[in-house]
Formats: sequence, C-alpha cells, structure tokens
Amino acid sequence: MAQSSDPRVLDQPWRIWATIAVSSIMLVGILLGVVIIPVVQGRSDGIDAFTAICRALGILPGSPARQQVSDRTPPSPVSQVVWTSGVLQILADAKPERGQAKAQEVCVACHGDKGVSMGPQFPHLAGQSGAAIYKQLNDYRSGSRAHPQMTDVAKALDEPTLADIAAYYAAQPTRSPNP
Amino acid sequence: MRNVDRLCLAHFWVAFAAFLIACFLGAWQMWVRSPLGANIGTPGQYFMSVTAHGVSMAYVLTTFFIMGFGYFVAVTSLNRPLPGKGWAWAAFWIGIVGVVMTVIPIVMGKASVLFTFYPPLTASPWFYIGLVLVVAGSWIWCVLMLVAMRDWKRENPGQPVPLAMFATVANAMLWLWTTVGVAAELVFQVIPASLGLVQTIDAGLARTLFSWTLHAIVYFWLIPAYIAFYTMVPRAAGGRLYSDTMGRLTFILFLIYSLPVGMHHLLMDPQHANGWKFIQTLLTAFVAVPTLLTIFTITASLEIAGRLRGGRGVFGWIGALPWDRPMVLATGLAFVMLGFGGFGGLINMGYGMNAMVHNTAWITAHFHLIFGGSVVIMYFAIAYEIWPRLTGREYASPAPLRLQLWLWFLGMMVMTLPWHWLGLEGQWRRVANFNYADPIIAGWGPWVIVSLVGGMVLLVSALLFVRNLAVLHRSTLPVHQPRPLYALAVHPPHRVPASLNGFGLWNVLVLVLMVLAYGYPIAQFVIDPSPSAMVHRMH
Repeated sequence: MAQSSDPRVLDQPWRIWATIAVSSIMLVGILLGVVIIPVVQGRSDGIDAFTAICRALGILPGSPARQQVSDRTPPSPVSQVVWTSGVLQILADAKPERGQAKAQEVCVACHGDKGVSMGPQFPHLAGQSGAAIYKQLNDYRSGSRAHPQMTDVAKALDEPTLADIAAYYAAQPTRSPNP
Repeated sequence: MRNVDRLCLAHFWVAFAAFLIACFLGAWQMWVRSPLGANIGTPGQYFMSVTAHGVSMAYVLTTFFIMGFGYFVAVTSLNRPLPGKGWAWAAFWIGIVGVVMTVIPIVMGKASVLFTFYPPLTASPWFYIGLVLVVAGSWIWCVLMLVAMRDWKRENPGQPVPLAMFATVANAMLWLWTTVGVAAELVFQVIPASLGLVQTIDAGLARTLFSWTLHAIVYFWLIPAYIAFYTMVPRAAGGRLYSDTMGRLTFILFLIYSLPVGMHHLLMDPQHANGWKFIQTLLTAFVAVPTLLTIFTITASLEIAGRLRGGRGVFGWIGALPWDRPMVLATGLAFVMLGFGGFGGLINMGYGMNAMVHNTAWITAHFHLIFGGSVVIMYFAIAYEIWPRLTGREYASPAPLRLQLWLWFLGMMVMTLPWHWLGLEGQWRRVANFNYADPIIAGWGPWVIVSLVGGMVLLVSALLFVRNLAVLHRSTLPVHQPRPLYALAVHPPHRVPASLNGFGLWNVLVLVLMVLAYGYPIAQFVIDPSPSAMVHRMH
C-alpha cells in the first residue's frame, strides 16, 4: 500500500479538486453567459430562449438582449464594396492620368487641384489610400452613403472612373499638417 | 567574471539600452502632444516614434530582461550550472539579429504600425520577421528553463523545486502558450499580407489571434516582479516568506487565468457574440485571485519582518521595515501603483464602463501605470539586488538608488493620473497632435502639461538608473560575502504534491480552457468567413 508521503498519493486530491474547481468556474461562466443571462434578458424584449442562446453563441447575428432593427426591416449592408478579385483588378488597372482629367472636371472645385481642399467642410484627398477613396465614392454611388453633392457626383461616374480618380488623388503628395 | 554572469549582463544591458532610448522617445512624444510642443514634428514622425517606443519597451526590454533574469535564477536557485550555455548565447544573438531587423524598417518609416499587430495596416516584412526571431530566441530560453528544472528534479527526486525556479518555469510555460496566438497571426496572415502574397486580410481573425497573446503577455512581463515579491522581498526586509504554497498557487493561477481571457480586449469588436465575451470576462476576474493572494502573502511576510525588527501594534511594523533598502522601497511603491492600476483595470474589465474609456487616453495611462509603474520599478529593484553579484562590486551608497526609485514612482503617478482623467474627458489615444485652438481641446491643455512634467521626471529617473548600474562596473568596493538572496518560508516545504512541483496537470487544464474559450470564436472565421479588408502596406 502506498505511503501517505508518496508524492502520487499526496497529489491525488490536488488533481481532483483543481480539476473540479477549474471546470466548475468554466461551467458557471458558460451557464451564465450563454444560457441564463441571454434567456432572461431576451425574454424581457420578447426574444425566445432558443434564439437568445444562439445569439449569445454567435450562431445567429444580433444581441440576445434586444430586438434588432433587422428583426423588423430587412438589413441593408453598410457598404456594397467587397474586395473581390474583380474589384482588385479595377483598382490595379486604374490610371492616375485619366483620373486627373476627370478630377479637373468634377472634383477640384471643392477638393482642390492637388487634393488639398478649399475649406474645412471638404476633406483633403491628397495622399489618402486609393482603396479608401474608391470605397467612399462607391458607397455614394450605391446609396450606402448619402450626401447632397457627392451622391449625384458619384452616380454619374462608372466604377473604373471612380478608381482612376482615387488613383490620382492617392498619388498626390501628402499635405503637411503644420503649414 | 563567470560566463553565465556575462550572459546575464549581456541580456540586461540590451534590455536597459532599449529602455533608455524608449524613455527619450516617450518624453518627446509627451512633448509634441502637449500645447508646449504643438506643431513640432509630423504625424509620420510621431507614429514612427510611438512604434519604436512600444517595440523597445514591450518586446526588447521585457524579453531580454526576463531571459537574463531566468538564467540568473536557474543558476542561483538550483545551485547548478546552466544547461546548454551555447544555446543560451545562440538565443541571445538570434534575438539581437531580430532586434536589428526590426529597428531598421522602423527608422526608415516603413513600420509605423505601433507595437500591436492590428491589420489591415501592415509594416515591412522585415519588421515582423525580426520580431519572430526575437520570439524564437525566447523559445530557446523557455526550453533551457524547462531542461534546467527537469535536470534538477532528476538529481533531487521528490524534492520541491525552489520557488524562484518554479515561478520562472511557470513563466516559460506561460510564454510558450502565449506566443502561439501571435505566431499564428504573423505566419498565416500578416507576413503573407506584408510580402504581397495576398491582397486582403481578415482583420477580425487577426485581432482575435492577437487577443490570445495580448493579455497573457502582460503577465509574462509581470511575473519577474512577482518572483521578486515572493522570493527576494521577504529576505531583503529581514523576514521570511509567509507561505511557499501560496507562491506556487499564485504562479499556477497566473498560468491558467491569463490565457483564456484575452477577449476582454475585444469587448467593442463586432465579430464576437456576447456569450464568449462574458465567459472570458468572468475568467479575467479570476486573475484577481492570485493578485490578492500575493498582496496578502507579501504583506504578511513584511509584517513578520517588521515585527522581528521590533515593530509593535497594528501598524507599528510598517514603520519598522527597512525602507532604506531599494528592494523594500520598490515593493512599497509598486504596491501603491498596483492599487491604482488594478482599480483602473477593474473598470476596463466591465463591459459597460469599458465602452466609456474605449480607445481613450485612459487605456494608455492604465498600461503605463501598471506595467511602466509597478512592473518596471521591480525590474529596477531586481537589477539593483543582483548587480553586485554579477559584477562582484558593491554600491558606495544606496542613496542614489532610492532617489531613482522615488523619482520613477512620482514621475509615473504625475504622468498617469492626469492622463487617466484626460481619457475620461474624451482624449483619444493613437492621435499624433491636438488642435489646442479648439475650445474643448484647450481645456485638456493644463492636464497634458502636468502629465508631460511627470514624463520628464521619468526620463531623469531612467538616466539615473542607467548611471547607477554603470558606475557599479567601475566601483572599487568588492563584494566580500554576498548576503543570501532568496527568502526561506516560515515553514520551508519538504515535500509538495507533484501538482505544485510541475506543470503537467495545469497544461491539460489550460488546453481545455483555451479550447472552450477560443475554439468557436476562432472557428467561426473559418466556418462563415466575413468580407476581408484590403491590406494597407506601409512600404
């Protein structure tokens, strides 16, 4: 029979109780976080228990505690731009020279000749990420973003032209923030 | 000087050189963000400086200090030669090559991405490959620590591993677990993006993998301070460690509850559902257990010392402690900063309160106070304690050491407390300059200047620290009989359960917790991939 000073005998209660303690804490966390709190919170806003649990786990989108706007109206993505290989190709094919010509026509009145804007209400575009400028223009074009002037400007241009303009402004030297 | 002493000193001096450079950069950053230095420098220079400051402090200072300290503990606590000394030097040089590879792109302005790896912004691949080499060097260190403990156990069957070494191996284990997250992020996502092999990147997955590393890494930095608390402070104060078992439990609990908790850094991230955030936040709260165990045990140990020195009454023992000794003084100051920083941490941990301080200066102030304050002041104390052993020379007077510790404490409090307040006022973090002409921002100005004064005091303290160590190399006072370093426990352990003498059980539990806490949150990115972000390269 093993002696009580045998490290293995000495260790047995440690192994058992440590495992029980750590597992219990985790179990309590799972029960509270994924079952009890979501179900109770969801019930107060009319969400059934199954939906609340799925939302707490992230299997269904949305908060387990509150009805979402998307529960009543179909969701519209905040942006239609997805960086597919087709879009990446449009950006890769963009020509700053073509963009410059178009920018002279439609952009410079507000955003300035080299992308340094005419006033604080217009953002500077010089040296910004071309992909970011393209995305914003595309969002105006698709209606994901709305603006009294920009929506009409962007709707009048096709996607490759947006990419050209974005490439032109991205290529301009960054303005010093401390002139 | 023994070869192993040279090994330790080489690590420490690399760590402290990086620390000093980073202090200069930090002071410059405080200056240009203040009304006094507005309009100096460009945002590009600011973010370059913040990157260099963060990388130096968070990766170079810590990793090299912890490796050097680990070698020192392995030799002095186990009383046997370091196994694989050649490997240790190889790890050192791999780390140095890594640091050089990282610094060059930073200085060239091709890596101003800060020290956090948050795509889609990516730096030059050399920046990441360099940091991978630093981590690879530290992995060799981890293996050497494990081998040193295993060899000692073979020679001393059934004996309890000395607490300092047990804790060092706990830290090595923790580091091996910790670095898996960031290594996966770098190897599978960031480096391919940085090399131009892919044009888009799943930023949510990258942030999740980084969160795996981000909290536990803080405990990797913190554990040397706790090793000092448990094994050096009671001896320096003239007493005994109240409980050896409490020490072992503390380091085990740090190993378990620093890993499946990183999602509290993602409370505002939309990719993760409430349930997972709740579970990981609950586990985060359990980090309070080893912290409070330590406060209790070390206070009890200091009380023993104070009473042995003649302290009477409920609080009389506090005054009787030898506060003139740097290790004791640093512990007192570290506890004060840990108190304030811990309080701030509780706020960050709360889902609702975190929403208020998210991405504000509060966060920056918090991690400066808790890491730059409580942890780094203990790095100073450890360096002061072991420098005479490494150099064989004695300080002429401890007065400049005490002055340096006080300056660090005062500087850190004066810098970080107004900084916290600015965060509550809404001051953003990661912003290069502020328009103080704006009436709302103008109100922040005076507090930013107070914070800047604290930063300047810290710079003076950093210079004094390096001077204090450097003069010891030229001191003419030899150490005749080094006093014992490690504290005895009130009841020294003769036999401990295998679970408190090794890490087999705890590694299994960590694995189970990690699978439960991070399994689905990571798997969801593969099961249902979200639209990826366009990679934005700095080079």
